[in-house]
Amino acid sequence: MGELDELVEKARKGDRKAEEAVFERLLVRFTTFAKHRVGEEEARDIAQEACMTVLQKYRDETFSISFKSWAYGILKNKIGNYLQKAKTRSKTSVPEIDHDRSSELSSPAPDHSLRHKLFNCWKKLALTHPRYARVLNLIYQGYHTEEICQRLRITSNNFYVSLNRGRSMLKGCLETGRI
Amino acid sequence: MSRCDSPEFGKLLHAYELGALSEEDTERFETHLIDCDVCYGELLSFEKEADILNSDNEFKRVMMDRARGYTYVKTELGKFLKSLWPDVPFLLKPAVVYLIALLMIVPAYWRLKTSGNEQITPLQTVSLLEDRSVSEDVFRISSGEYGLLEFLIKDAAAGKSYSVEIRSRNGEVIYQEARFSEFDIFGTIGTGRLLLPVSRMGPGDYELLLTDLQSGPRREPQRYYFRIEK
Repeated sequence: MGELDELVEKARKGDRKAEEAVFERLLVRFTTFAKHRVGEEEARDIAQEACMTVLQKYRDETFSISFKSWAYGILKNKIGNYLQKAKTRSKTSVPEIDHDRSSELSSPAPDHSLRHKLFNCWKKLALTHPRYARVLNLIYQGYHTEEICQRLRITSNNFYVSLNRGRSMLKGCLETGRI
Repeated sequence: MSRCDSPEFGKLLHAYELGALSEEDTERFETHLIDCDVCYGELLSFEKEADILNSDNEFKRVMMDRARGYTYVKTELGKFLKSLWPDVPFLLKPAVVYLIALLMIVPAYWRLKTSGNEQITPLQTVSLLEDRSVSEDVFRISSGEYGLLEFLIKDAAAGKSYSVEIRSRNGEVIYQEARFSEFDIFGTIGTGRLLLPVSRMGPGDYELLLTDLQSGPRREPQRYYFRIEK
């Protein structure tokens, strides 16, 4: 039984602190997950709604799968509902500002110095480990994982390993300035 | 950095950050993140950078423009290198075949190229008659390291043996052989031969003494003279 499951068990037995810990953990994670699909503000709202639903239902629920899978399912539904509504709104109302653009306007200004450092590190990496640069380029062009693997004649495992290796090197370069 | 307990999820991290996972894998990975502090911590540690890599359109555009140049070169070079090392048995790989061919052809070609330049240098030969003055019997060091000394032997006969000595002008014995029998016979005249390291002997006048070992204690040697010049 993992740490989360233990907390849930305690919370079910009435432990308020355990319940708060569960809620906090889920809220932070759910916000991160939602930001991958919607804007930052919307992500916070969706995450809160999902956590509230989890809190309301978890005591009486018998999880056929794990607690985390059940809770994740709730978040998935909330996101799905939001996106559906957003789609309906965009069809029936006056065209609104493009969501990508709106999230650009609302999100914080880009960190230029970090961007500059990242670009320099990427240039160094592209010379010493060109596969990462190629994979990234293909991702930016919109290719899916299977298509990229086919083009580069690599397995999916190679694909993931290349990405993670590139990530470690980028991270190291940002810290030390060297690949 | 501590490792995730589930490597099959841990490897999906950067693909997730870049939005390169399928919907199904994204859901699996996010479910994993709910209770994996290692992966979630790692995600947070690279959040800003991943955000730029994933969402900054200007950054992406510049990187793609740049990568086009690298990709072209690397792809062409990569294709060529891959063609040298395909998935075939080792000895059939083109790189190995080319290397073996190179190792065989280059030395053979070099030998062929230089063989015409070799010249067979005839061994310089000096023929000596007994007691003749040395003016014509000259070895030149510049003509070769060795010289063949021929000398006519009076009253030669099969089975006879001689002692041979070569002395320099100041009497130093340069060469000595107690039983010399390297000679051809024609009638009663023998032709002895000695191969001399003339360059090592150095310039100067030399005397060869040939003594018949069967001629008794008062035997007088046959004398021959030759010179070595530079």
